[in-house]
Amino acid sequence: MTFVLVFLLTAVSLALLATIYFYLLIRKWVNIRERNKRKKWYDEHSRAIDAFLFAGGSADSFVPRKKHHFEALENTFGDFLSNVRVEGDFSHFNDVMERYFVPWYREQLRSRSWSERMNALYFIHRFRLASMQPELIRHLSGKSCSEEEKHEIFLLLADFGYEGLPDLMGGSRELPTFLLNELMCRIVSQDKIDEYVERFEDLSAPWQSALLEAARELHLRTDKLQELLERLMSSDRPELRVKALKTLAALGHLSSIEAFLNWLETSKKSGEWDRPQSAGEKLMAARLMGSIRRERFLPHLQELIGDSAYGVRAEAARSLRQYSQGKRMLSELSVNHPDAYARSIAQEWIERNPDHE
Amino acid sequence: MNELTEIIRSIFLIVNKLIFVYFILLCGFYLFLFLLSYSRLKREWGLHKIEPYKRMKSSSFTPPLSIIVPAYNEEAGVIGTILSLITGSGRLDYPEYEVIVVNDGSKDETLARVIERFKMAPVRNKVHLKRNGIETKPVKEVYQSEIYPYLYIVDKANGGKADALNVGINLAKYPYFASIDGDTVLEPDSFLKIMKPIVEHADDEILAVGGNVLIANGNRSAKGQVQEAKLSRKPIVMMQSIEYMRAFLMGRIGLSSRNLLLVISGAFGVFRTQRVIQAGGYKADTIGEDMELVVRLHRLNRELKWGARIEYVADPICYTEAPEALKYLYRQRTRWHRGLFESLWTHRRMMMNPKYGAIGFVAMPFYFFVEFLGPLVEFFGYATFVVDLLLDRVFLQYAGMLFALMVIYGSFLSMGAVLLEEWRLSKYQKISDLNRLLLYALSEAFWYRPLMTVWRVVATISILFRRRQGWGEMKRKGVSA
Repeated sequence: MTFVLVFLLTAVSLALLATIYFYLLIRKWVNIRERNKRKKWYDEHSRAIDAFLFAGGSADSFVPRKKHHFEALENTFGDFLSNVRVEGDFSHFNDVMERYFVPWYREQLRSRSWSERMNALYFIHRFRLASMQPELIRHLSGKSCSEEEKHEIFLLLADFGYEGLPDLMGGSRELPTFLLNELMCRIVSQDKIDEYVERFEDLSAPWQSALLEAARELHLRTDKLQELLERLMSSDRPELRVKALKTLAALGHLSSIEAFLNWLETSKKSGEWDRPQSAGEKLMAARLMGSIRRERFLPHLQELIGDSAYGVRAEAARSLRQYSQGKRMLSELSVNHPDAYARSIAQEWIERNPDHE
Repeated sequence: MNELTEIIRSIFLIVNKLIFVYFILLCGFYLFLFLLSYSRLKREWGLHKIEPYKRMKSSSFTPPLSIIVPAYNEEAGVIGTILSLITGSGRLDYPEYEVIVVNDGSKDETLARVIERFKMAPVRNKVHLKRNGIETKPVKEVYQSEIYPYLYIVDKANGGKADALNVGINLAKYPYFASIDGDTVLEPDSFLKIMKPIVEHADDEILAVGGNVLIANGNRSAKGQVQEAKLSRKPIVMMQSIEYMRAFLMGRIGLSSRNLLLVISGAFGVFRTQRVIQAGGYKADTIGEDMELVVRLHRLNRELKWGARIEYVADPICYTEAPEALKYLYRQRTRWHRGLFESLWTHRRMMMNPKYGAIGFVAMPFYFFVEFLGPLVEFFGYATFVVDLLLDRVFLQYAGMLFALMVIYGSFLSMGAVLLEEWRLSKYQKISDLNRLLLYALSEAFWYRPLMTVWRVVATISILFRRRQGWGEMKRKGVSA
């Protein structure tokens, strides 16, 4: 009985081994053949392709018809667009894209292979094929559309300025933070930021955070945004307080120094800042006081340099270093501050240059 | 007397049957791992190798990274490793990072070579060294490069690899840190690839991500970069290439797809700095510090309900130099086996403990019964065969068939790993490479596997006598020169 079982297992394993081996053999042979065909086709047309890209020449001599033609062109065009800043009339390129690549990607989006569909989405992004928008929206509701594809499509639609994106995303799972920040940077602009600020309270928590990140990243400035940020410094939600302070520090502006100082005093007195969880908030407040340099901030920075959290101490020292009299003050603190940690960090920042950090 | 012989015979029969059941279960579990990896990598087959990472490369939201390189007597490889991280065409494609090399009291020219090559100047104030608060051996000096300001080297008293890594973590200023070995060479986009699951993961926090380790021996390299991946001509290295493919592409991908991965290779992994600090850093008095940390993170993840995952991804690649001499391979393997035991022993209360879910009921027993005790069972199998042969009690047809199954099934798994490699990496493109991989896979059961079994049994015995090993020195040629 056992012998028969072992015999059967051996036979099955042998069959599997042979199948994998011959599959790999054929696979490698096909790969080598495809690679050679791709290279041969590219070599034959490289002059015409270069002339097309760099001198606006005709594409008639390298019309892509087969998979390896598209792959060769995708890589060349993709590298070109990644490395060269396109200026002036580039309509001949867009014509080729519309004529040959759009139908190709329509077909690829219907592929059963997940990776082929994803590759199509990456190149739609690379070549900015806005005419694919209806197919992308249709693909979103398809059964085969994975979470990764949805994320790519949302970013693409944001790139194309699709107005109905927030509604379209309503029924979808939340995007990862990184992608949501990226998406927000695509949909908000100096012209549109006030629109989002007005309905800030209606946005979900991740969207609120992403909006603040985008405002910081894109350096957007409006009165309404400034008012929102200063109001959020007293929000009930600690993460919003930190993000608001971080954005204010990046934008480098406060409408009222007095109001900020009052907020600072209130935060200290409330006992909230004694909790270790407040380190992020204190750190960002210190950063803000280094960004908007005022004499009246100095006593607060001198206090924060003796904080129990390393990050807060370091940020306070860094901010002090940014004041014209900062180096001298740090020298004094390195000798006179009652706290040993404060003396050490002050000493450290005398030698460091905040511009190089 | 006859009665005693009969009892011994019965015991042998029962043990043989148990070994057989163990063997069948083992085959089943490996097949299960293969199928898990198969389904994941089949999906990713054909995915473009560059386009998916371009967004991360240009984004200011990509989290910055501290890269820690512990080095002990790495004079042959350390310059190449640093070059592969910071300079010229080999400069990492990662948007923002710092490189912290930690010289763990090397007796050779490691420190002097780095100082000279990268114009390292002492950083006078060292306050920031303990900012993350892990206790370590004393730091003698910290140097910063005048050419590349994001390159540091810390010179410290010898304390072992874990202690060196902890010094690096103390200095790290970014939210994630990567640990790589001093002889490791990375592909320029490896960090973008290893960070992708972290930045694009929606559901759970990612505590750590392991990357793929390939054998560097035989490659054609220049300026700190691998120009062409080639299989070594040396049988002992060739077998290690097959072993690495099987362990990484099949074992680790399979286990990580169910959040059961207990090992991230010290050669290449990324960790969330704050969580590792919360866990107390690497354990300094153990050999398998890389595995121990991952097991501890799993334990804390369950105990403190972080709801986090530990991932493994196939496409970020690093190359490491494999031992070419039996002496060094023996040392490496016995060290690994001891490290495995120490990690399992330290966290033994997780074994079959419902509090730890599948980690306690699947991962820990797998590593203990298969990875640790497997060689003993296998050795016992060989021993009973020899005894039976001497006593003329062997049913040769059966024994032959069992051995054939071992050879064929082992080769099937090896070829399965080659298939996964073809789908995701496709580093070895020649048909002759495939033929060589098959031939060596078929030969494994005749020489390499028994050798590994005996060495690991020796390691198990030495564990009983508690003999210790250090960093695991190896004569290196340098893989990136």
